[in-house]
Amino acid sequence: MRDDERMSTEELHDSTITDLLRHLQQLRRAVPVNYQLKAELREKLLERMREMELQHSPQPPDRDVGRRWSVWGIYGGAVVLILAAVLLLVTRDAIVVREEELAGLRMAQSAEQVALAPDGEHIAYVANGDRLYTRPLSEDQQESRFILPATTGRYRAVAWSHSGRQLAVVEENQQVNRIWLVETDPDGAVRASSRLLKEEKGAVYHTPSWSPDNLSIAYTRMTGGKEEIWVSSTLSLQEKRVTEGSQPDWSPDGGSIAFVKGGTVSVLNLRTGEVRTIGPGTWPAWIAPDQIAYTTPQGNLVVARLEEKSVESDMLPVPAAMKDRIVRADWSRDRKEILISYQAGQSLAFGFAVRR
Amino acid sequence: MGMAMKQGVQEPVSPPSENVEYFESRSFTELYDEYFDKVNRYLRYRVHNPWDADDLTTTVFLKALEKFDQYSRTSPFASWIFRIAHNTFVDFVRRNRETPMDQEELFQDEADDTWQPEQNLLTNEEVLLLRERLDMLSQDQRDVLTLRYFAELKIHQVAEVLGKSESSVKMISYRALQQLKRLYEGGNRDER
Repeated sequence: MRDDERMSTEELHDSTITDLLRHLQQLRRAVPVNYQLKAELREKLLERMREMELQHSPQPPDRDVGRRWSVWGIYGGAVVLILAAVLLLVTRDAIVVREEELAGLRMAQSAEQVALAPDGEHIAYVANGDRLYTRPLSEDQQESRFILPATTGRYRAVAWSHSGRQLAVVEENQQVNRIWLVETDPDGAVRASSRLLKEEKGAVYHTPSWSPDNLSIAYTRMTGGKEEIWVSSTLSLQEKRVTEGSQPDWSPDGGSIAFVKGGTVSVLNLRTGEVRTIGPGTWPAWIAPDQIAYTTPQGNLVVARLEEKSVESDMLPVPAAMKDRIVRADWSRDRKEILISYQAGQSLAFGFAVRR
Repeated sequence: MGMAMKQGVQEPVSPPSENVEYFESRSFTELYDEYFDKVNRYLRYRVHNPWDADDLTTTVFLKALEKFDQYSRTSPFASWIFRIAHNTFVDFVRRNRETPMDQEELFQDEADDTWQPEQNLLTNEEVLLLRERLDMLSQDQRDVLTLRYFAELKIHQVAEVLGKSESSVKMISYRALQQLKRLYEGGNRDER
């Protein structure tokens, strides 16, 4: 429907009303639409449709001749289901290493200097603190170096946007600290198109985390030894402090942020301000709308399932080479691929694994 | 549940007879694809907290799916879905009159590859200003204007959603626009 068609005749007779209508149309277009919700809800509705179709599908006719076989069929099916469930329980959450140590990453000085892309097929990393690269995990492709604006600082952290088209790069400098947003195309070498998100004297930033819609970035802001989590819009100049703590990770629905305070993983509900304690650990990462994976103080991985009034935690079986030494797990969008940073002697190593 | 709801693959739906003037033959998923933006935008405008608006949008389409076999297809889907959306909004307002976080605090802006912070802030301010002025109108006037200009419904569709006559909606719309115009011109004079 064209906009003009909505204007009734009496409204159009008044030119000032026409101006007002045009203004309303402009403002209507300025009200944002949550396209991520649109995609997620579509999947949810399709799932519900499948359930409804099953509920409404006709039941098989009850015939005397086939009843005995049906009973055996039910028993047989049940046995198969039980076996499948047992098999699922045995193999579920197993982490299988694809590459125990990714080559060339020992130049990274901290776990947050290497990040797994949402597609699980690329990584971005900082080498020697002053060079930024992306590289595919398959061996037959070359890495790409990103040339950022010439500054004297060192890159402290890197984080992919959920679209995989941007990186947040934290620059640490003795005078000024910055967060850059870098446009990237993981499929090819690019001279980076970048813009400055935030710049501040006297505050150190780290652990940036993109909101699910990529419209905001949460990060740790440290001043005078005090760590706080702040959120900055990637579109406007708006920013706000959300809580005290560090290592924020945005929930898939954008309504909560997992974070660390005093060595304990907690979840902040952004709507209510309620903080929920999950357990001792670091580097929380949402792996489902109600599940958070994090590293225990002993260097292993735990998955916490957030029930309505309780938290159920299970250890994730990790490869022997990484056991008791894990620093951080960085997950792909579908939570199947994992980049694991772990202590290897005096330095950090980065392994690539898949979850089954 | 009609088979027309299968995953985007729609079995042919035939009009019941040739003398039916309007017949909606599209599947639920096709209608969802078209109307999500309008419903989400309408609720984001009416509810100050965008997360609440998104929750309400989810509720609207889940309700619509459950009731889709009750949709007659001989009336516009827009009226039907916005009746659900409007009722869901009214229920929400009745249940929860407080919004703990304002829309502008959450930066829930439309994704835009163009870096225009000043433009963005300006538009936010304008939207907030309009919302303030709409709050000075009566409930009926707000309902009519938001359904008509933010949900993009026609007069007769607004009338169906609100259960009013078309002439009544036209009159409310006309008076609301005049009032809004005066508020813009005269610096928020409340002439109700």
